[in-house]
Amino acid sequence: MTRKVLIIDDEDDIREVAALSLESVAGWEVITAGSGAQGLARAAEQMPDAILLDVMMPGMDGPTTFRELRKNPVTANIPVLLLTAKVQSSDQRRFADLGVQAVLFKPFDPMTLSTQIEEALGWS
Amino acid sequence: MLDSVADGIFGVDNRGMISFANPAAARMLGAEADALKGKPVHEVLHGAAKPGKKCGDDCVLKRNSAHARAAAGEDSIFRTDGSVFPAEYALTPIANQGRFAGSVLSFRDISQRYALDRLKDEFISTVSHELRTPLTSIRGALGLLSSGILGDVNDKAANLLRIALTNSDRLVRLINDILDLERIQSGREPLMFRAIQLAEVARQAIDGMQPVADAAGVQLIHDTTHVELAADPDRLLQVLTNLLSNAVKFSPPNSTVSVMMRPGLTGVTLSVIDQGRGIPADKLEAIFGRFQQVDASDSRQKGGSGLGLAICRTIVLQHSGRIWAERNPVRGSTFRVFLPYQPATPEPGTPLEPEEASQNGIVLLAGVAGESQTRIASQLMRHGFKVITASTIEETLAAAHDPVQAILLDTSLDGMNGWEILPKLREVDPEGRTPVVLLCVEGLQGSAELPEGVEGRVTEPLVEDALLSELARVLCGPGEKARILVVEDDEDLAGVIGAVFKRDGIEVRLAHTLHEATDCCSKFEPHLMVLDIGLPDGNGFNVVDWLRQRENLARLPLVVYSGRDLSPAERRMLTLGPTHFLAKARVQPQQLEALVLTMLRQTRLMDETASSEPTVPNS
Repeated sequence: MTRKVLIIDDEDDIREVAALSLESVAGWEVITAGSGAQGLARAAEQMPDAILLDVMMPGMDGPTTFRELRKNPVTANIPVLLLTAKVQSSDQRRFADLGVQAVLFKPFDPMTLSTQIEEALGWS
Repeated sequence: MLDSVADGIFGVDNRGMISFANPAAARMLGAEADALKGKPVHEVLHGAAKPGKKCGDDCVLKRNSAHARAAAGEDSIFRTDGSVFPAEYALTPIANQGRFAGSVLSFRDISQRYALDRLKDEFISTVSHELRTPLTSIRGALGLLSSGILGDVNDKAANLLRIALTNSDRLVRLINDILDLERIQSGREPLMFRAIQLAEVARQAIDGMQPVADAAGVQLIHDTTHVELAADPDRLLQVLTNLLSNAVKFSPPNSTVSVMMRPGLTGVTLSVIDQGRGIPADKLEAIFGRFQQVDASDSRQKGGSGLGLAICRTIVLQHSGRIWAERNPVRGSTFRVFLPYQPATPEPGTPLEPEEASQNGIVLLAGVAGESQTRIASQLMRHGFKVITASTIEETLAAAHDPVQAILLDTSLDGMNGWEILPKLREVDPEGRTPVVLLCVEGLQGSAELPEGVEGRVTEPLVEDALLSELARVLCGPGEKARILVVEDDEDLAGVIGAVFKRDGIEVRLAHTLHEATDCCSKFEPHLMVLDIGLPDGNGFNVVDWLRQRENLARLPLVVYSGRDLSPAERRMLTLGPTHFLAKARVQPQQLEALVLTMLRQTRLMDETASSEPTVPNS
């Protein structure tokens, strides 16, 4: 079964590399959004199986976007994984409190990104 | 002098009432000095707090300010308008003939230091994030290309891609390590100690390393000794993983890396033994310094960041342990980590007991009263002396029986001329073991010659240097030559410092590098070390770590010279026994001399009481 994943990150290059990784290694369908606002719209209209969400974005940041996703009944049940360069433990504690499914770190290994997502979500 | 000092100083009587306040104290509290006199000191410091912020019965300042108890630490101080600032304070009681006569409270505003710490944290967090973001794209792109999943590449291209990928990984590890080291050393991420099974942590480290070891053709073996100790399991895992990683990295294929644990009486020694090429004897210590590699060329090839062992050492020291490297007799190296079952170091932030901090002995201040008394007492206490006071001849003579190091005598005491008191003092102390220093009012010095029995003279108003110099000069008596090791890479500066001490009949050795310093310590056995913490082949921190791990040097008195202000965490790391910190730009050679002489005297006294043999004076 082909999974559909939405990547929300303000960095063009990171969206491109992450998308290429999931497409070529796992064969998944990937859609992208360059901001929190755009991400909310895409998520509602495309209903992906999972959302990869950046934390540091201008305008609506990751945590705010996550809360908005949860508020909308259409998108409230889509599992969200944070993909972030904020690796300090003080940050980790904040993320854990949010209630996201998992936190993945940047830089990531493009050959195992899909496996990391599968393990976090219990996908086969 | 108290007028121009930046610290706030209160003279407090034995009921906890303020008897004296210097301008800085008044300014920091937003009040007039006169308005503060007669008020209870605790009330002044904490009284203006709003209802929700009041201190409780366990408030250290409340409990100690009217009692003969010392206290020091950090606390909030409330200004008269109710606003608050963080402060570092020290409360020191003064005794008069064994009776509690009041205290001196000194404090300083540390809001700037807190702000700086926060800025530093934010900076590090931001920089880390900014560096990782572009690295993500680089790492991702290279990973995909290198794997061939997007199409074949020719051999040369594949090789170049491999190089690019390896180095971007290295960059990521470097960023991680720098952050890690900064966090651990700053003490802002305190360790979480709990009871752990060492074998379990070792097992985890080995499991983690297994794939790498398999790929390198190296076998990992370990013993199954059961040892329980108090430690931070995550940090300990970090240390073991690092040691194993190094061992595997530098081991040839078909060799073995062993992990052994040997429980002892006070702690356990863990060893990681490899059969690689080994470490040259003169680098066994240096490798624990930052960015140090055994051999620059091939370590970089192996992808090291140069910080791994520095991080290990920091973690081990925070467990009150020791880490060191040995050359194996046949081949390879052994890295040993000693961990006590219970770490001894107090948590960062525990206030120091000024009792322990006053290492220089007791000085009797006779005849001086009021503001002068507070001022002089404060100066002396800042330099580690404990002060007792006497205001009449009877009290002075009585107190002279106490084990005082020196008597500071006012020329006019109780109506009697200071000169007249001396013979009486000599009656009490016929052998003249306690040196007497006269405090003279400026302009009334009388004859230039010191009267018999007086060892020195200082003029009021006291210049701090002069007081210390005189005291120190009379205190460092004849006998065995003291030995000082000066570790300073600036030849000129080293020469100047050396010359200053040679004048005092002290044996001085100079060391210009870390290697020379450690070498010299083993042979010369100094009584005290003057240490510049920026050395070319390592730094002062490495020297102190090395000293800490040697039985006979672990409490060596130090005078640390640095070109910049040191953070409290750094000071803790540099403290062995009695330690004083001086900023290069601000210290004068005479101050350094006075400080060192005083510390030497104290060390000698401690040695004398410890040994039972009478010391034989040198010819």
